[in-house]
Amino acid sequence: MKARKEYDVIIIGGGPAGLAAAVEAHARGLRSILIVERENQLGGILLQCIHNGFGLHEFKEELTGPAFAQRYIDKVYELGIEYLLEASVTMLNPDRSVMIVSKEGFVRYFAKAVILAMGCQERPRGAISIPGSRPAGVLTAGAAQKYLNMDGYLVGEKVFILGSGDIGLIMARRMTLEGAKVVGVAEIQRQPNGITRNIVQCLHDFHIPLYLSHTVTRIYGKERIQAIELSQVDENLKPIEGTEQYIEVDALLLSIGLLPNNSLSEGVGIALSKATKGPIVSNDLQTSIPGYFACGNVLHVHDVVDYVVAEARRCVDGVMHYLSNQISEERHIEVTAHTGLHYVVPQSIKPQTLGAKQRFYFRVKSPDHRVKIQIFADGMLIKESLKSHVVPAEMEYIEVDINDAVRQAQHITLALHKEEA
Amino acid sequence: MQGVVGAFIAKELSHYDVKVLVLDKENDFANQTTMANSAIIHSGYDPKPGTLKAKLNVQGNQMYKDICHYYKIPFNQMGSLTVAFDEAGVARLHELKDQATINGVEVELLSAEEVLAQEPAINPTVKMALLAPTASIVYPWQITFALFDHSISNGVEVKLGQEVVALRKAQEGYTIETKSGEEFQAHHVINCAGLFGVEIQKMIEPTEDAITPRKGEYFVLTRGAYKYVNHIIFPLPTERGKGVLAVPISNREILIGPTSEVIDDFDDVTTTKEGLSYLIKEIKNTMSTVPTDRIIHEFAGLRASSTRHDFIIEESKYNTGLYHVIGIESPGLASAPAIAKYLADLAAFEQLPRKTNFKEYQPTTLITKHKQVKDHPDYGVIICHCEHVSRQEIRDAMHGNVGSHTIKGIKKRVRAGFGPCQGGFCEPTIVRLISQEMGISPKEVLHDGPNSAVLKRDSKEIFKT
Repeated sequence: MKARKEYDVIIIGGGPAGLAAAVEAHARGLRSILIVERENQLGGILLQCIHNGFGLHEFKEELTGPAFAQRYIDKVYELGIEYLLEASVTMLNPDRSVMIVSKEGFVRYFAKAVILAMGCQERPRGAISIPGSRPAGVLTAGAAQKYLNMDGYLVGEKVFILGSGDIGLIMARRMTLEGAKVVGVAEIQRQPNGITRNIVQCLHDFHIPLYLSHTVTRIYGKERIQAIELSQVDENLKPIEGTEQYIEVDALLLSIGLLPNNSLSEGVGIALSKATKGPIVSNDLQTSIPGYFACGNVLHVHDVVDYVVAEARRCVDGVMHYLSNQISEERHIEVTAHTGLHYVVPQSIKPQTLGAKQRFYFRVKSPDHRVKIQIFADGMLIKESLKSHVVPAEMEYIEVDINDAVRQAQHITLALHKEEA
Repeated sequence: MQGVVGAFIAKELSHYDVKVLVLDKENDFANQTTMANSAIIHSGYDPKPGTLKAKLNVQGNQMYKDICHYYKIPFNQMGSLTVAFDEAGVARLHELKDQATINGVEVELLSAEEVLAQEPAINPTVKMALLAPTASIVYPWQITFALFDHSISNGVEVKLGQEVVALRKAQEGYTIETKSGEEFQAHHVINCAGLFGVEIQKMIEPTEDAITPRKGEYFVLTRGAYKYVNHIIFPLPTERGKGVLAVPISNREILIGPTSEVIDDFDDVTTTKEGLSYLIKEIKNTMSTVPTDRIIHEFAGLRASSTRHDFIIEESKYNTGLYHVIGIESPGLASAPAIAKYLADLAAFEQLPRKTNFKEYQPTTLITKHKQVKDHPDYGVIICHCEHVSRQEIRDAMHGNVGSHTIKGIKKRVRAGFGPCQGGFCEPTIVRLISQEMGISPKEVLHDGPNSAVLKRDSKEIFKT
């Protein structure tokens, strides 16, 4: 009989979150660590992000995606952390056993703790129901990026991009550099959805028009896409009749939002947040099923990879607490996002595991200037922080000193307060 | 004839010692009406008693279970509920129950409480429902692939991508000419060209029949909508058809649709803003909630409605040995096996010499998920993560009698790209696999039809001199 495959911690996903979690777990003294990666190499989506701008916070230098990933991959090699490649998790079980299929067949692995680090995926065309035909040449910006940066092929020469998500913006620049004509980028909202740096460096610098309050209302072409219909939208995001423009293209890239990859989490019954689409977690980044932790884009979509790896390290804090059995059944203080905020992570805190400070990560619902982010403990204001400029595309955080008022509260709430002029 | 009706006819003919050639303009099996429909094996209470539709639907429904068992294809007999929300509707359900009895279909009336106990997502104002336990779900293209695979193993020849442009009387039998300029001779011709049946007929003889394409738009809810419905849910049927349905096409996906719009373009499978908002409006009459955040896909299909409002299965009035199978609209999928039997009787297939060496079904492709990873490690390497499709399954889908090397062909065969990410992750890997396996450039890999290459050009190509 085969030996039972058992680890202290199994990390699902070998992208930046998973790698950083593994390295941190090793630094904290764990030696029984397994990373499970479905592709044939470690590194995740970063490997296809050959542009630079990664690592400014983490390494204080500008790296490309592969270079950033390589730093962690090298550490994993150096530390001798175990990993499986071309190995897919097909099922999670409440007892923290994990079914893995690979060239070895279907094998059940057991763990004391599991870290979910499966990243996110792009929303497909169906998610926004663009009417029209279903020809070749309509694909997500990420797929176009993989074709171009990993395989060396362009998916089109006259390209339109729907959605101003960061991958779409980056692809506008990449395809232009490869000689394609990027006709324009449309964003249904009144403000861009990507971070400001990318709007400037990928669109403005290349004179690529950005159509705000616009969307694609029809796709034309039988075998291969031939054109799109672009329409302006009103304040309810409904297309305005009479504003249709017919634009000939041979590719339409979709950059219409990212969704955490939580099919597996859903399967085992981990509670998911409607706002983030990721697991609901407490301040130790533990999910609703004990021993399951989450970090990175599977928890909530981040705009910068540096924040992902920082979160992975915090996640290992939680795992260490859990493994050393410092947490028994205990009280959760509920954390909720109120006025003006789309979500807050974590969604609860456990008083016994709190350190001296606690950060709350959030996104605002709409762009604004001069706002106050306020935190209340049972309705009592305990902290406020002035932000001169906020946009939904950029994740923000607020840090709170932990005092008795926080520890004894029933509810913590965060809200955005508009500063009076 | 590459659709499900053609598949059953080809399979019928494959038992006899005759030379059979299947021609179709599509470059894949199950690529038109069979591709895009509600996937339902209707119970048969709905068609007007006495019509060919009623007879063949009921017979076909009874045949499917054994057929799916033989071909090892999932057959999900979940039953259908036709729901009424007012007194007029309740009266109509009683009429339908009587009609079911005439058609010979087992049905049962359920009270509102019984309905809601089984289907909590149904609008609670429901008054009554008609349960038809024999209504089932089958993936139409799976059955089509299996039947063609089996037929080809028994000597049926198939030429896809061959559009028939002329059908002429010859010295003996008929001459069929295709767009590529090839000519084929046949003693007998079966015209089973779906939407284009009347067009083929007109190449050789006059007809008063006409096909009007009826477009149906659908959307698909992905996993997580699981258990949203447990039966096929019909509103009360109207003149325009069976209304907007909720169909649990698999354990994880729910189909909502179709619209029903008469159009004049035989190629128009576009979805429309009006169609999709109509679906949502209509389904909200039947269901109390619609998980629209789970929509991952929309599509449209065409039904070949004939002016006779019944199936047309007959020998030509003008040309002996020419048979027409036309106007196979809903419940065409449910009726397909019975249609083939009916045609076999009509055309006296029994008088043909039987093959002595007829082979039982041995799939030449299309893999089951139970292959041993131990013997074939690539069955353990997952490429489509949403649907858990392995590298070797994708390779297998390219080979055998009914292999395909298009992205859509592989999606139909092994479900790669069917899930929540709709191929966003796996499509580049599949393009690479097809190019390696078929020995072609990735630039030659097609999405579906002849001009649908996925990739446009090499990067840096324009900088090379």
